[in-house]
Amino acid sequence: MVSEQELLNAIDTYGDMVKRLCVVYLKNQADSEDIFQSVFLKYYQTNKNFQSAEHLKAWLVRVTINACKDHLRDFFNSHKVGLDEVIEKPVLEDPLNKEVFEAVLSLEKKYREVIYLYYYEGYKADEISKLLHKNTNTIYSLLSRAREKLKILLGGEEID
Amino acid sequence: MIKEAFDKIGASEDLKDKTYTYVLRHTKKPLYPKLILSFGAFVLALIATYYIYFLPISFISFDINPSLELVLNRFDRVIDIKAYNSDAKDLISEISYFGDDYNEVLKELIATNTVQKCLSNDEVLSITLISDDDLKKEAMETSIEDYTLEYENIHCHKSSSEHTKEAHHHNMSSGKYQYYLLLVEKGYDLDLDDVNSMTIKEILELLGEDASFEGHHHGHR
Repeated sequence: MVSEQELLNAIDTYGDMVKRLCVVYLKNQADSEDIFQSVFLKYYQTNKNFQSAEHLKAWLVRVTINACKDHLRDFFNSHKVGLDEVIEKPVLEDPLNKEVFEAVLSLEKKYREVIYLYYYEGYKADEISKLLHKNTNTIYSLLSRAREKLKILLGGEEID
Repeated sequence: MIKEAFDKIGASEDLKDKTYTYVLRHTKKPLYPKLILSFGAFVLALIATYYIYFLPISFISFDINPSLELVLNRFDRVIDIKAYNSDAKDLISEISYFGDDYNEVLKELIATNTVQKCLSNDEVLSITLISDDDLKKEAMETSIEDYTLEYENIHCHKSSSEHTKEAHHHNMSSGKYQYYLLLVEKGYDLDLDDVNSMTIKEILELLGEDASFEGHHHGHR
C-alpha cells in the first residue's frame, strides 16, 4: 500500500515526466492535467510492490501512456488545439526550443512517443519495446523514420 | 536538442499540490484489508500473550499430606495450583494465588491454619522445585530459604522435569512421585495409591537416610 509520503515523493520525482508524456500524447493542457491526476490516483491506489525506482518509473510511464491512449480513443477528445495551449511559456520564449517542440508534436503519435522515450527519458530500444508492447525491431524502425521526418521538419538539421 | 526543448516542460507546483489534494480526496482505500490486518495482528498478539503468560515453565510441589503443586509461568508467577487430594483442595480454597509471585503463595500456604497445625504436629512439609533450569532452581531455593530455614520440618528439594509428565499422568505431584520412585528403588512393594495416601513423614521414615533428590536442605526450628 502506498503511503501519503510515498505519493508526495512520486509526484515530486516523476511529476515532470508524467506531464511531458501527457503533452506528447494529448497536445492539450487541460486534458494533460486530468490525466496527470488520474495517473497518481492509480499509483496511490495500487497494491503493487515496486522493487526499485526504475520499476516504479516504468510503471508510471506505462500507466500514463495507456491513460492517454484511452483518452484519445474517446471521440469527444479528438479535437485539435493550438500549440499555445500546450506549450508553456518558457518553451515559447526560446525560438529553437519552440521549433523543435512543434516539430516533435507534429509527428504522428507512433513517432512522437518513441522520440520522447528514447531522446528524453533515455530508454533503450528494447526497454521502449516493453513499455509500448511492440517488437524491438519495430522500435528501431520507428526511431529511424522519426529522425528522418524531424530532419526534414527542422531544415536538414540532425537531431540528438 | 530534443532534451533542451522538453526540459522546459514540467508539472507546475500548483498542479502537483492540486494533484496531491485530489488523490487524497478521491481515494477509496479499502478499509477491509487494514481492518483485517489490524484484527489479525491483534489476535496474534493476544495468542502470543496468552502463550507467553500461561505457558507452564516450572512447578513447585507442596506435600505434607495435603498434596498440591504450584504451576509457574516464565515470570515466576503462579498461574495455577493443582490439588492431588481433598485436603489440598480445602487448603487451596483458603488462599488467593493467581498471578502472584511463588514466594508470596508459599508464604501464604505455610501461614494457613492447616499447614501450621501439621508443622506443629511434627509433620513434614516437602517443597520440590521442578525445573530444567539449574540457575533458576538455585535462585528459587535461595529465596525460599529466607522463610523456611527456621522450620526444621520443611524440606526443600530440587528436581528436573524428567518425571513430571509421568507424575501428572498418575495424578500425583512431581515431588510425591519422586518419593515413590525412591521407595521402589529401595525395594518397597508399594503402589502409587499407597504412596499417595502416605504423609511425607511416613515416607521419610521408610526411606531413612536415603531421602534425597537432586539436592535438598532441611530447615531448623
